[in-house]
Amino acid sequence: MIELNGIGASDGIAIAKAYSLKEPEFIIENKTVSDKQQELKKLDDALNQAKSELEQIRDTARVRLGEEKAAIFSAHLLVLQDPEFIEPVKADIENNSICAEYALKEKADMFIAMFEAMDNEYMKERAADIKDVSKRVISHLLSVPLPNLSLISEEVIVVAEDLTPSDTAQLNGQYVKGFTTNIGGRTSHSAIMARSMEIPAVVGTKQATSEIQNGMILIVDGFTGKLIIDPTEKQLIEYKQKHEQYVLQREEWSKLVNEATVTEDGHHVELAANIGKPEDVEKVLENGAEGIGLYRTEFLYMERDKLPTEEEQFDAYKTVLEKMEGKPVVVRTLDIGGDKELPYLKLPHELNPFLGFRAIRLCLEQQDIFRTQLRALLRASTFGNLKIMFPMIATVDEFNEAKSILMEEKQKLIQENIEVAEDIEIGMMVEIPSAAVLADQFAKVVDFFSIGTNDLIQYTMAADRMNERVSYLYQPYNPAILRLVSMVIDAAHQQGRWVGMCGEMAGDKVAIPLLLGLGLDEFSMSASSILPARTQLKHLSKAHAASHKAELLAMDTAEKVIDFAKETYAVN
Amino acid sequence: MNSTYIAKDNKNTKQHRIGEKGEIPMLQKTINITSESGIHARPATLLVNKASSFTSNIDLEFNGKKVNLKSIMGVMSLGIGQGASVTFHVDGDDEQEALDAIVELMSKEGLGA
Repeated sequence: MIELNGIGASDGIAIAKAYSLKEPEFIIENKTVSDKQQELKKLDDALNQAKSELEQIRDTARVRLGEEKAAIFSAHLLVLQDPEFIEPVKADIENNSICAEYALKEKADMFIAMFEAMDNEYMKERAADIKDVSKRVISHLLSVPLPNLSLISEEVIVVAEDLTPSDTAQLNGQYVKGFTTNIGGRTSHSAIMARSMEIPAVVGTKQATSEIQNGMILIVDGFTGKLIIDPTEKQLIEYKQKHEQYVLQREEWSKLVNEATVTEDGHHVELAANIGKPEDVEKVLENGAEGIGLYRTEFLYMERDKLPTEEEQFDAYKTVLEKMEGKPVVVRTLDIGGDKELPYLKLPHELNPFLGFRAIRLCLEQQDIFRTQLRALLRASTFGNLKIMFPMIATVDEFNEAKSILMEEKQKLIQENIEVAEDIEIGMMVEIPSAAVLADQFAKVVDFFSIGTNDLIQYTMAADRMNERVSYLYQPYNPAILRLVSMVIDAAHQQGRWVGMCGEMAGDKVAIPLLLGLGLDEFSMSASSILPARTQLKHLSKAHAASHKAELLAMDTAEKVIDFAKETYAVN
Repeated sequence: MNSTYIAKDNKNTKQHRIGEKGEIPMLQKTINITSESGIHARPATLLVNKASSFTSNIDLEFNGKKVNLKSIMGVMSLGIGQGASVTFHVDGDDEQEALDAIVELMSKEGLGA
């Protein structure tokens, strides 16, 4: 038995066998073979096995990632039967008695070098495709299986260094009971995905992949961040009970699915969900969200080789709006740059991407991209209750310019006799300190604010949230953050605007009573946090929370704020 | 770039077929690429799949380089972009059928004509 401590990224307990995504290392030697016919057959068998695996991966990708992404695997399949690749390998075996894996590796390396030398980024990336395919064939030649999420067919806990967006898109909730990674924190991509899929997860364990072998029994405790490898009988019983308790608690929560969120003293606050893809709406409805507070549209642009068309975007927005049946849907326009790159835009590499050319800054300069998205949104607006917000607004001018582009596109559509909703609210994210400080001026021009705490905290504290060495500065409860949040809410209410929050903080049970007291109108969070938050809010009094506002804003450290919240509202 | 491997030496490419009927030129057709993203992964996949369903030898020529159209890596290695002019060379028993099918695919997929 070994215990590792990481960060609990998604609530729940999972107990299952480990499935490690760590890739085995291949040792390939230049050996001569005595039986050439047998070696040729070995190659054929490996090619066939690789083929059937790739077909399975392609089919999974088609269902879970769409046709576009699946096309890559169709290209991979063709590499396996490429005569200019396979014939020379066979000739090498036949003429020089070279072992299949060496012959294949040599030819593959030649192609990889050739693609890597091309001066076209897209072509350079194709080198990775060849690496991928040849690695799969070699794994069969050496009989060392290569892990792949699409090939999982029994209940497992996935163990990986990290999970990329395309990895998480392939996770099949039916078999993947939980996951654990070496790196990452509560706001990393894998953590956010775990919560949206409601899979228990522990991230940032540093050494999960080196400690865990395939098939070991694991316990993932997403509440405390504990990862138990090869547990004792006693631990197994204990955690099975913990799991059952959680299941019961969720049943209790689920009774509130169709209820409005009302505090003990009769105030209604809106609990909304954050989504990235139209498919996420299912969980949003299951968990009884009163709306979508953040639709991150960048997923439409990622994992592909060109911009999405207006039609593709229209379909996605329309689907979300229709499924939400008139409940508010706040769509954030493209927020790319920073840690989210789009290789096909060929943007120059920046030294400081989080402070660089990203989000609205990019959209205002590359207006064709922005206008296409706005047209798609406006066309979809008649299918539900759409609200649009712009990310990374730093100045009033930026907001006004973005809004006037939106209005221009609206006029154009009207002239084309295309129906557009009349009453679309237009708001902005507050994630740059300048916007928070100047909120009273912004409040005169916007319909609403949505506070993006993940970025607001990193910009206010000047601490990169991806940098573990300065992670101690990532302090949601620092009074400086609370004062900014409070300023934004007061400024908005002065002008009769509403304020939401769509960062991780909005779903945190320690933060919820504090934010209620500051007057936050809308809390947008992972779908899985909604019912616990509703339960909590039912037992809170807004008047009581508000009575502590001055005291709270006069505190000097994050620790004191946390202690105060825990003591006053009995949360931990 | 080591292109000699895939790109066939033009001198050695059979330009004419010698049969009982004497010299008959092989089929060829030049097409202008109109697709915005040129011939990237998806169209290349379609073309190679189509070519592989025929027995004829089919080459794709671009910018003085000729590759086997049944080789995905060959086709991709040409890096064909929008505005390119490419030539298909088809030689074999089902050459007419093959060329027609390729031309049809190119136009149906909006790649070029």
